[in-house]
Amino acid sequence: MLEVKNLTKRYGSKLAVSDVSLKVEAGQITAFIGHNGAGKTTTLKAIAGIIDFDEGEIYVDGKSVRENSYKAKFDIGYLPDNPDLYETLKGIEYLNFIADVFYVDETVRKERIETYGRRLQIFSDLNSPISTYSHGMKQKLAILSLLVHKPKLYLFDEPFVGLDPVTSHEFKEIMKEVCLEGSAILFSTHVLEVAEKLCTHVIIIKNGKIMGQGEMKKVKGNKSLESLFLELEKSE
Amino acid sequence: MRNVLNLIKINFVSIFKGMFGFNKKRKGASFLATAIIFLALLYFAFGSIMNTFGELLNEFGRVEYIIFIGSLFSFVFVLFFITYEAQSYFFKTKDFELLSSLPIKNHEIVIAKYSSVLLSAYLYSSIILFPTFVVYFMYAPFNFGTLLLFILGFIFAPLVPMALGTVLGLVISLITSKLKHSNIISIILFMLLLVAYFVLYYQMDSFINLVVQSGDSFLGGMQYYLPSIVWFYTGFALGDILYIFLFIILGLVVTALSVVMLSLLYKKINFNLLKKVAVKSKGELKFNKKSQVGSFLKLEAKRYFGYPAYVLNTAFSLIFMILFPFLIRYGMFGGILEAGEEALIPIISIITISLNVMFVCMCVTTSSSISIEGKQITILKSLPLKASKIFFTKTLFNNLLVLPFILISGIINIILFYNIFNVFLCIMIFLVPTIAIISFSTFGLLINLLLPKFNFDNINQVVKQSLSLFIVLMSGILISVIPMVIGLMTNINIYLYSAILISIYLIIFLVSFIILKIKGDSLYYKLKV
Repeated sequence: MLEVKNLTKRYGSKLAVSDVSLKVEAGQITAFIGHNGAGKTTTLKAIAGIIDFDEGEIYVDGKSVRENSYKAKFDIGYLPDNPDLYETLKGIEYLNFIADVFYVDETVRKERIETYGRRLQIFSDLNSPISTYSHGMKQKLAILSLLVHKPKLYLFDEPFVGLDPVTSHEFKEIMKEVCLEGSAILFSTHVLEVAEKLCTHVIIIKNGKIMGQGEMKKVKGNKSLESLFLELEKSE
Repeated sequence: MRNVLNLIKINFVSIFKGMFGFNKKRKGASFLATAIIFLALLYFAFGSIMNTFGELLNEFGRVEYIIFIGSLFSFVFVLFFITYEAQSYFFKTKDFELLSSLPIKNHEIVIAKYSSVLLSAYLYSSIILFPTFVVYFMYAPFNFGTLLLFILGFIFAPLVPMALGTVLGLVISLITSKLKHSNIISIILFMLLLVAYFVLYYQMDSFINLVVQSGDSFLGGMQYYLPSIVWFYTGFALGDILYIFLFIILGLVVTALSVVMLSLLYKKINFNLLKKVAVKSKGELKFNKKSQVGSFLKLEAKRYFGYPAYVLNTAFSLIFMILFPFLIRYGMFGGILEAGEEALIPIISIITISLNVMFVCMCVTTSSSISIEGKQITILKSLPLKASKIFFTKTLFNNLLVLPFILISGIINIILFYNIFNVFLCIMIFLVPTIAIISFSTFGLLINLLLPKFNFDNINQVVKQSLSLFIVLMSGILISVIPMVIGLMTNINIYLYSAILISIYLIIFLVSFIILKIKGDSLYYKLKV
């Protein structure tokens, strides 16, 4: 579903991401963990086609993000770490806008908004302006906007920040469901306990380089993910 | 005191770095150069206006009244702009919660913010008063002492209108925030203020005649209604020390009262304004499907009308476009046209077409529509929306906004000048501004792509202080005014003049379009917060 080959991105003289290669197959939930400034957000943004990159290739369901980002984006749903949404719109207007961009039919969008909106406990607020939403509500709306068009690849940057426990639990269930339906999820998080319980695979990045990746059980072995992460952080 | 100075320093650094960019010397230099040229144009424009009054007053031997006129204009100018600008400095600001959590007193925060607003007030005041002083010395003998008095007067001139404007802005904020369509109501209120200002200007000739005929008795009566303006005139133009003293005291007292009032109410008002009461609409949710362009167009419209500052900054010229035909017909050329002066026909034609073109080119929303995406640019770039579609929709919105005003203005012009405009001119009244806005909306988008500004604390920094906006605005004014001046001086044939204008705008459109076609995608994908 997702294949990143030798991705390199520089910001001036600083190497944000260096020679990163990773794969995420359909049906996998992959945690993307690393320290602050390790290159997680840069990698996710490059995959989402938001920023260009200096070297390497990225393929989403076989489509090159560099050569054909327009078509590739139809298969991608990106959730930023801080959902800066259009405050002059109401929640439902924002969802309709996203649905229109992805050419989602009226009946389909209605059904998805109702179903997932109720599960995420945001449905009753959709007729209110986004400017009146709390951070958590904006996060829920942003998540819902991805579920409206049901992409093949979900990219989440710190998705659990701001979510209450009930919504957080429901969101994890939804993640498992969409993966069972054939999608893939790659998400960055600092909450290692959630990553350990939820994810089938893990990728660890440090200073712009991949330190380890693969099946969760194989990568961490008998250790906890936290211990493994701290060990890798201390190593050169 | 230490906190006040620190906050003032942070505010000014934020303002100037916001204008000039962080560590971008070339961009900063470009901005400075553009701003200086723009200001020079404004000084020249207002200087020309004050000069017409100065000439009239000089004929009656009362040139000192120009100081009174300038003071009145400056008062209203500062009052108007500070009323709608002050709100964004004091209320619903991003730093409110941060500052509230720190051990800083309310009055320290208010004084620091007041100093930022004062900077704007001095700028607006200077646009009127500096040309007024120059015009005065054109007709009165130069006196260094008088110049020093004027400079002293200028230092205290904006204090009263600024204090009043801040309080008025607060009142409007409080009232409109409780109303359902607060943004639309704010926009309408400020448009009405703008029209009132225009009507005041339109009445100036009669007003000046009244001042000249009634003289000091008129001013004596006026000081009960506009004491600061009369005292400014009496003190700084006539050199009466008592009134200089009274004027300064009045300015300081009003400022102090305003600061005290704001300090007492600062937190309470901000807490009230921040109370986001979720307005739950009755009725079902709508799931109507639209095309990508239709949906994005709706987003553009909602965003535009959601920011009163964005609307006011772009739409004021459209209001002028509706009102100016009346000024030309009954003000500039009133009476002369009835006498059947045929020589005026080409002059009126050139002025009408040129001014209409200038007004539409001052309403280029695309010059800041990329910047105004702000942090949402991240979301926009992640969507399967081609850059070309985004560009098309933004320019389409700009054109759809302006075209109705071109239509209304054209109809008004035809009605008012039905005995002057032939069929060709009637077509040009509509055609030339239409081509101009299509051209400039494309040009504006290109400039904004080249000079985006995503990091802003409040919307004013984008719609009033961005480099792309300055460049497009100045270009629009120059490209309409320079041909108009040349055309009037050379007595050019109106058919040729129209053809030249159309050619200029078509060239601008083609060049902008081609550059966008070749470079637009890469410029768009390079955009980042």
